[in-house]
Amino acid sequence: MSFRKRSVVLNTSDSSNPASTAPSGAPQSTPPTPPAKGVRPSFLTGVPTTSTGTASLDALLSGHEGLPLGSMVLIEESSTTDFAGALLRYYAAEGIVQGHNVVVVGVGEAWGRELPGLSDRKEDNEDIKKKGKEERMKIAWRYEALGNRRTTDSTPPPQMGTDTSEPVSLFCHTYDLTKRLTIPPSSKPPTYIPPPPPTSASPFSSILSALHTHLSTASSKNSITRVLIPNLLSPLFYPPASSHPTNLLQFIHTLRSLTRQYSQILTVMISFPLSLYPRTTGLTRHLEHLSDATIELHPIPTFLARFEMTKSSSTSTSADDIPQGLVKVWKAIEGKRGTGIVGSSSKGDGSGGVVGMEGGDDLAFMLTRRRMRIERFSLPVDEGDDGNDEHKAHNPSSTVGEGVGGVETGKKKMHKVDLEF
Amino acid sequence: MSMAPPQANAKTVQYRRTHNLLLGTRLISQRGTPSPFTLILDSLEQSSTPLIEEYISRAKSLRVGVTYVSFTTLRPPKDVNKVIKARGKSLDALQKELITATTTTTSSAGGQQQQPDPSKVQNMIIIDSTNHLISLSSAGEAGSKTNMSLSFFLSSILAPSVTVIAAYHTDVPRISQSHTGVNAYTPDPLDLLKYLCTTLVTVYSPGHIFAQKRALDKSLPPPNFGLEEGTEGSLASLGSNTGWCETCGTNEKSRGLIYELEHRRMSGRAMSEWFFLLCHAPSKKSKERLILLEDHPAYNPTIELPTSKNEGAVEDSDLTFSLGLTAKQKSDREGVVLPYFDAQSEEGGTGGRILYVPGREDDWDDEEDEI
Amino acid sequence: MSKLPTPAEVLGPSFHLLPQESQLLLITSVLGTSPYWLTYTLLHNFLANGENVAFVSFTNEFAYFREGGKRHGLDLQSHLKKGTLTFIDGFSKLFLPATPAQPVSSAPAPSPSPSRVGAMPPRGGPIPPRGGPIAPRAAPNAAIPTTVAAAAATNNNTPDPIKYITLGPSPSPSAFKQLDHIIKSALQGVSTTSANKPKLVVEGLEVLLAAAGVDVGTVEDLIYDLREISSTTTILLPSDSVLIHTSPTSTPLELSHANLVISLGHTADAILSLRLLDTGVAKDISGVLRVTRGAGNLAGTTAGVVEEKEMLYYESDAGVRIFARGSGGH
Repeated sequence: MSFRKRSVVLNTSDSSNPASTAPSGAPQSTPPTPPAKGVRPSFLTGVPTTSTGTASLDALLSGHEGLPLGSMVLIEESSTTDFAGALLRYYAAEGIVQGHNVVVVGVGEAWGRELPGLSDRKEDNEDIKKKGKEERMKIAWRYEALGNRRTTDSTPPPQMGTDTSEPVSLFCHTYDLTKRLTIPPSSKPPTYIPPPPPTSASPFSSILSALHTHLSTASSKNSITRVLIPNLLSPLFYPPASSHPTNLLQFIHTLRSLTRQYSQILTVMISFPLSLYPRTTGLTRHLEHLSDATIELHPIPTFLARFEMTKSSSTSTSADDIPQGLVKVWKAIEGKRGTGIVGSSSKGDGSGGVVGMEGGDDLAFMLTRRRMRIERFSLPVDEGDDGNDEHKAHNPSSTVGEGVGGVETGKKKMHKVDLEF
Repeated sequence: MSMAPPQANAKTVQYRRTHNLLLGTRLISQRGTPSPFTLILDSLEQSSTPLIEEYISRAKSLRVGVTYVSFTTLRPPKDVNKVIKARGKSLDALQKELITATTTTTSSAGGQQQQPDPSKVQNMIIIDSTNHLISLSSAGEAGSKTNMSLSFFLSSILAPSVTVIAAYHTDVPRISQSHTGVNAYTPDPLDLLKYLCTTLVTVYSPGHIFAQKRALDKSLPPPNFGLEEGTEGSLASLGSNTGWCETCGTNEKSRGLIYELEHRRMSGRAMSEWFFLLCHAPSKKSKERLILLEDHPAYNPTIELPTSKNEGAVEDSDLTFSLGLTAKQKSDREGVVLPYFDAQSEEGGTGGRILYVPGREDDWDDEEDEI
Repeated sequence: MSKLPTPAEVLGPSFHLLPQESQLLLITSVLGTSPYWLTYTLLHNFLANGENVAFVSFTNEFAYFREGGKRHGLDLQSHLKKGTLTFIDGFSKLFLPATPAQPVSSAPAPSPSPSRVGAMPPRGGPIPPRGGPIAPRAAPNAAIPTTVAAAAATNNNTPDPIKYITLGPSPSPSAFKQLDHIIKSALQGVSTTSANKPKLVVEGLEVLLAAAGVDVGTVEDLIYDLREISSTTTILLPSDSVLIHTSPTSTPLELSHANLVISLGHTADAILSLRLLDTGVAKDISGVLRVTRGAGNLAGTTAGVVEEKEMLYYESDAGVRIFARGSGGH
């Protein structure tokens, strides 16, 4: 109920309640209608958010615990690998499962055939249940600290779900990369906007006009829309003229203005190959400035190699816990619109700061056969020492990880090898 | 850009104190044989503004008409006679306007005392941003009718009675003209300006120069400033445009700056010197604010400033005998043959070898002892 | 309501933002820092002193600043209504076609005015409800793709006081000249209500350079034209090393950005640079603020002296605090 109450406050931002710190982007017609499926208010500001499909990525979003509607996330990848593709597929799959509009730009339908299916592994669901509980407790604690701004019953509904029965209202599902998503009857298959013709001089104009059409219909139905642009500027899909700043940046600028115009329904996720357009170029930097969040996946093959080498000696570590690379948050999503505050760090609200910012705690990602997750990259634990629980207690970073919410805790040990940056 | 300041050179400082400082003072006052075209290179760390203001105020006292060509300055210095807004104008129009301005101010502002001395400078043109002049001259757009070259423009505004002082910002990157029709073989515009100018001045922030000098004195790598500082996202370094003075307030002291000057004379001789334009005159006796950089105590703590003009003579006149040597005494001293001189040269190359012939009393044992 | 540092704390107590002189403050920032609190600091000062402000943004819509300002106790909405603040939106419709390209009437008319888009016209409509293009030289229907149109009439009877800049999908050089005209007329409109020249804040000019492909000279001309008719101009630009450190292999994109930022630095009164901590992220520190004196403050000026400083700043719910290194967070 407090959710509704909150929304009422939000909508009176024009006059009636000047004391309210109404965040922007509040749901429009919320007083009578409940939020759309797969949308919940930000833990931080109350703006509506939706899940990226990767719980540990949601947790990276400045304490919102979800991607605020009306934002654009850039996932960069500094290698020819396609780990970013996994994140985008989760994001797409989550959209499909939640019955959102999913618009895939630039790549063919083949891309969408590889969306991961819902996990039916017991432990995953157990995980979720447990985490849901954990989250609730955390929320209670957090808002207690904030002076009861919000009561505990405002927490997202119990998070339980299986892939057979319609999930009640799970915010973020767990997926299994070994499975293929079957589109639920209540959902629509993704829409595809074809790549620009190879000789086009203004390659993005056709994409933009298609997007305009999609969005104006979607907004009339008030249906949540996810736009995905996998491998933007990849020479396989985009003509050479696309990389000209007046084409690319104009497109991104317009896309940004669309996220604001349709801030009630739209989120955008882009993956971008850094090996072709490194971060040392002005083009990429402008792209980063124009997006709301920039996250780089930096694969480090030696992590796995090192694990292979030491496998014999370590007993507790499984390959699933070996990170494939580092995650760097170059631009964190703004915690409070218009302020530039990333994350919240008011005293009682210790969670949700900018994690993994440059020079801060390192984050690593691990993609197993089944799932992808982002975790804290813990300090090295002495080789030969075992007993994870003990280490957990001694390892401050994993405790902090709990506070962040959603970042999985109870690290198995990871070895911090010498990195060259 | 960040050029290491010179080490103090006690051997030549005396000569330079008299000759280079004099020339430096003449150049900044535009007295004597003036320098027709002075190019001032500056950066975000040290603006040329204080130096240009100094040129203007000295020109003013000599009743020289000052025309200020403004590309970027919205608040030109106070004492200029005429401001020409150059932004948005073609090079042709600017040239015409400048020629009329310099010919009319001679008769009006130059005023009553019409000195027929053609060598005397009567008009000074100041260009606040030569960077913009360059892009104006190289803009090969369809809009500009004539493609007047930079060198032609400069030579056309230079008359015997006109000097040009032009500032150039070295840290602003030039956008290369990839237009068709631009000759790829023409020299770089900055090189061209450096070639054309008769005096080349580079200004530095005193704080930065002193920091570099202190580092060099300790054989440490000198720190970099400005864009080269190496701090992500930092545009200008601390200590930029701040001047250096222990007694003046913030505003007054920023009139001071250090500059390196290279002057090419008609004779082909060039003079190169580092100066410190102080924010106030160093002593009550002189009004001159210009000193050699080496004469600034913050730069060169060991410098002995000349207190009196009678250098060369030994100052301790109380003594009843002379400490000095006459030329003859000096040459005689050179001629004295020192002991063991022959022995040293005889063994030439082996150096510090001990030449000793054992005597009877030495109790020499062939098996044990050796030399 | 949260606290912001005052301009005197940032720029030095003896420096004054004069009502008549054309001053320039250059605010630079890097990826990961947000310069907007400095903007709010200035806006707060300007508006509280009864000055008129024109605010041009190319990367954010009005609602963004309205929300941000609200958190700092700055009611931009009411200033917009009063007319003391003019917001020129070069973001929302910059590259949209000047005339509707496709039927957008399906936009949800019944839905109440979106709070995010605030004072904007019903979303989905590239063309506002009323008030045709007022760019005098632009015939409303001629040169469709490149018409620059100020989309809202300036009269008081229109409920939308925000002016929009539209260059169209393929901007032409002539469009930029008119862009200049729109901002100018807005500034002049503002200045008629007061004896003082209006203050001007321009954010996101890099979009013109990078995305619209406007050449630096044109952008600079625009800035100087505007500076002539305003008093204190504040320009916000990114200064990431990638964008301002140039080498012979730099692309025109980097060269023109560096050219603009450094050129402006040469005429600015003060350069305010925000960057991240060199040592990485700290809990109670958002970044570093460096204020340096620009050449504009050297010439005989009555504005007083900009004091150079390097301070840490911390942005939080409680406002923004600036403090010296080592003096602690709390």
